[in-house]
Amino acid sequence: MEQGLFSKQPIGSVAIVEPPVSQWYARRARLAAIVVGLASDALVTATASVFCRLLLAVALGALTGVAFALVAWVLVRVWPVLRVLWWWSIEITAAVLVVGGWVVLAHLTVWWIALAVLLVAAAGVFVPGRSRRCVWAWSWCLVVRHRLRLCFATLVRSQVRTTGSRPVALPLVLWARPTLAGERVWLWLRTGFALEDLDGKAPGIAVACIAKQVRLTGASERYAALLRVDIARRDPLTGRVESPLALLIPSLRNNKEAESNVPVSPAVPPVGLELADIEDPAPEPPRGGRR
Amino acid sequence: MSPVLVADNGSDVVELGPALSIFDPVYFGIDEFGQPKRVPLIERNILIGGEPGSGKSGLLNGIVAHAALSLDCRLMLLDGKRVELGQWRKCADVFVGPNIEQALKLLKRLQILMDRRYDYLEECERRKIIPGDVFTAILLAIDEIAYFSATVGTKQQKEEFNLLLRDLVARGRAIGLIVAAATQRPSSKIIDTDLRDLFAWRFAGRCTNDSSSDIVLGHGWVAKGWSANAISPNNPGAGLLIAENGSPELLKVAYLDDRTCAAIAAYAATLRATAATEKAVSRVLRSVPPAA
Repeated sequence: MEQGLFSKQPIGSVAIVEPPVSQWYARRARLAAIVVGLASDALVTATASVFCRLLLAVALGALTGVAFALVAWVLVRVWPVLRVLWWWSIEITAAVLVVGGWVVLAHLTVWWIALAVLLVAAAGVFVPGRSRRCVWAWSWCLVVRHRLRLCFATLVRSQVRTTGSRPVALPLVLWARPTLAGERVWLWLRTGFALEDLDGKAPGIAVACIAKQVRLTGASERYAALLRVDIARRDPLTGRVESPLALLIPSLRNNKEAESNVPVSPAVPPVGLELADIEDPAPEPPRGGRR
Repeated sequence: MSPVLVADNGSDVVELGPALSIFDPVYFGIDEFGQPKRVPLIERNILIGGEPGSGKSGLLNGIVAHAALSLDCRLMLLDGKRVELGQWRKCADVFVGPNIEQALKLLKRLQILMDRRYDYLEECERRKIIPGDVFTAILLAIDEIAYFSATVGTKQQKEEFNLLLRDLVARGRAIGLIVAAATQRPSSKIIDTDLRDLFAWRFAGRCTNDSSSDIVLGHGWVAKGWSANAISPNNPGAGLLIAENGSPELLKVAYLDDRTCAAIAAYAATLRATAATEKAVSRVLRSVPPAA
């Protein structure tokens, strides 16, 4: 089991169960099993002794303790695997919904109708530019979550390698959403990480996220652990930015006049606006001085 | 909820409002990550610099447009070129073109107003303006400050302009006086360095060299990697903003074309006239707000 699940994994994989991490989880699982087993044993023995004989209560407590200890050991030991499943839960859910929905439809009708429905739905999503861009942008959000996790895992690994300390818990990736420039991701740092530790790491994170630039800033006045990661893979500053104030004005909202209409003042005729229309100024009269 | 007003524009009845408030953050544009950038301006002053065509007037017009649509703010405009802020003339209390005497008169009146407001606040045992106060905030927008401070008038007039403006920037914060000043290169020859340092918030459009960028943003930012000289000359409106973050951030200023400016100005003028009429009809003395 240990060799199968927690053996060496290639760099680039998502599951962070490198040997030091795996050993740490094994120690943690043993400790959790002992604590949970003893605590449940004591509790059940004490409670059961009220209702039955002491020997029977001790036996019941021991059995319960062993059962709880086993459950705790398994949970902690396979926690890295559960965590990976949780990380990929959105993709897994989406795949199950699409494939499962298609299979159910195929069972209810015939396969070619289900295939046609699938193709029409795919065309409806991916052919119109707007929805395609939307799907693409949100897909990048999913990708970025994994890339950030991988990047932080690499940081933790290098920290463990250099300092020999215990591995630090990876930051929680809370939410990601698309922006005009790329994506914005919120992170919750765990004990052992601080924003200052990430100084100078932005270029590396940008490379990990396949982006041009990344900026890490605190996202909360109250919590130092809450971080905002702005990822830029496009330059949104090249186009013209419209002011939202124009939307407040009914005439601008409703009246779409041609913008080529240059307003001219009816009161002032456009005369004398070229240099040829301007006469040379008269020479200044001599100042003061008596003759 | 903001008031919804109804006014007659001559041809048909249009519904106005809701109006904005100068206490709301002002929309400047989008940041480098495409997120809208809104900056609170109340109790703040902003200095806008950059080469010609870098977007200074675009930002200044955006600030004036927000203030014009805010019924709790009066507009005082100084424009050496007359046309950059000229469209807001109808909704401004005072508009001063290229006339140093009129500019000095306005600044002196504002200084007197400032003293009276401080007298009032002192009587009320208060320290600063609050939303819904008995007096309104004031936006003093100056386009091409160099025209008044270094170009026209006698030496005495220029010095007086600098002194008065410095006093307004230094003391005007608490009584709701917001100064937004734009110029191409606010060097010590254009405005006094002490006055320049009083502007907490800065916007630097593209500058022709690193030195100019440091003059606008403050000394030392180029050494930290923030230079407005790095901005492409083909991207007008892009610039570096120092606001509540305390460090520069790249920004693209929202652009208001002439037609939009004219429409917003006309709308704001109608809004203000209607609000003034309603206020005159149902004028009631407001109670003094509690001590802030």
